[in-house]
Amino acid sequence: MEERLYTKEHIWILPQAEKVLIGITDYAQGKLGNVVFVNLPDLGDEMEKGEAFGDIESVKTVSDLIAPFSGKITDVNEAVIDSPELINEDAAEAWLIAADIPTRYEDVMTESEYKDYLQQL
Amino acid sequence: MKYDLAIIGGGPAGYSAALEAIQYGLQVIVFECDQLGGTCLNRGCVPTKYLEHTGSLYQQMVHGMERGIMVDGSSLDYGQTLTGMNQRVRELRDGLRDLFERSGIRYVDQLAEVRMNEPGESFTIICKGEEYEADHVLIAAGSVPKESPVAGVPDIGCLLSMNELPHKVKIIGGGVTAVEFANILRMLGTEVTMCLRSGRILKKWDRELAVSVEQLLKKRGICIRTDCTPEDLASKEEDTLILSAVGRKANRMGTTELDLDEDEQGAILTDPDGCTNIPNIYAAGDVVSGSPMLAHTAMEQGKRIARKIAGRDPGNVSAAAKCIYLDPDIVSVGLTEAEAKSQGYEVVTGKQNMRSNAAAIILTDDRCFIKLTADRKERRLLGVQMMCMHAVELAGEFVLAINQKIDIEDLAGILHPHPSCSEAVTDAVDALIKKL
Repeated sequence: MEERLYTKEHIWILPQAEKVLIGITDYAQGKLGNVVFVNLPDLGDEMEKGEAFGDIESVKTVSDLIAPFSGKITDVNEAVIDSPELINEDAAEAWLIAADIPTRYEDVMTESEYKDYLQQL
Repeated sequence: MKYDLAIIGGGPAGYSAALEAIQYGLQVIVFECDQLGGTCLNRGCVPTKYLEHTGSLYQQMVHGMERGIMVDGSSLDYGQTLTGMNQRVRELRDGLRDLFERSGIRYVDQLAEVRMNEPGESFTIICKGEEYEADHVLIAAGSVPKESPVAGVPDIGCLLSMNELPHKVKIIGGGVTAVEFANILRMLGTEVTMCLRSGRILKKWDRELAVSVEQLLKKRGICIRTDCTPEDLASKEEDTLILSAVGRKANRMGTTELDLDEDEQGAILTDPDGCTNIPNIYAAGDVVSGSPMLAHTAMEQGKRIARKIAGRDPGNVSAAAKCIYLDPDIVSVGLTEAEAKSQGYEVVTGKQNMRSNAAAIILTDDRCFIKLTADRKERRLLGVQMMCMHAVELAGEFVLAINQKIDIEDLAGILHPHPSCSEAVTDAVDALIKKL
């Protein structure tokens, strides 16, 4: 099984055999507080690295979800749209979207690098 | 007597055109085979908003305990609700009729048929054996409900004349009418299931608004079944009334003899000024191809046509707010984010949820938000989507900003009263400016 990768915008990436799952980190959900709504793109939409592919609303704030790479969205987790609290319950399990595997990953961190990054915040 | 303008239909497009035209000294006659005010006043916007407000009051009473209001033995007398509703509708209709009389607009409450004479000559309108002549004709005959995909299922409008509220209702459809009626019925205490053929409700709306409405309706206890087959739609359950709300189509009664260009659904094709392919015949409102089926758009179209006939400048076409009354209101003005992107704008969005807005917190426990879409290059607003208490009353500010191409920075300078939901407008503009 491939390892998870992370971005500075607190997005996790889980490469799988034919797709990549994308979600927000436990750190991000903790900062957000109770998630009340997730605004996700439509199937087939394109996301662009560094741009918002959606947003997430908590009782405190609205945060953009920043795309970790450019690519096509191949699946959207309807269960999370219906029950946004799943993100608070287990952010690592509550994937948001799936995308085509990119040719390469840029500006990503391994789990230990991400942990170090969090220490600096 | 020859009239300057004959109007077929006394709904928002027709009565607005008549009242505008009379101001410019035109001789106007209006034919309406049903009731003055059209679908909007008699079977649409007005009565349903009365019911929505009643449902909201009923829910506030039932749940009043949370705010310390103790009510024993609450119940609803739907017959009495409808009596009150009909009273208000009648009052508004009488007011309109009175305004017609005082303004000198001739009104004939019969079905009329428009006939062509020789090209360049006036038109003949035949009504109950009598003939009327007019130089210009405005077709504003409105729309009628589309037939149900399940044979024999009545249109949802029949709820406005029932004496008792049904215990359980299954609604076929997922558009604005289906959503509003589902909410009204639920607020009044009926069990509601929505069955739709598509994958989500409000499929023509911004995805986020549609998903937000779906969540709201589910929270209120409405069951939503998507991707239904014809068998699913037709399946009958015990004690359940099935009602159809699958949209509306142009009403062509009285105008079928004319050789008008129309789309495949029979709606009349016009140019942006309401002109049809036949000189001096105009069309406005729901009868026009591609109509958004909004009363306020119909009113604007009617007025612009009246000005054009009077030889005046018809004026610019305004941005229009699409509204769903659910308490909180759902409003969309101008472009959505997806539309703006597809039109090539450099899109920036600013969104504010209302968990920190005092007025919203006081008024509701439901999720509310305002989302702005702007063009980075021109630094002006392109569209707004809102789910917010009294959002319909906030729409005007955004319509003005879009019509006048107001700078985003100028919008930030508008001081809103505190506490009010409108403060979230400033917050959303601030969020937008940070991203510009």
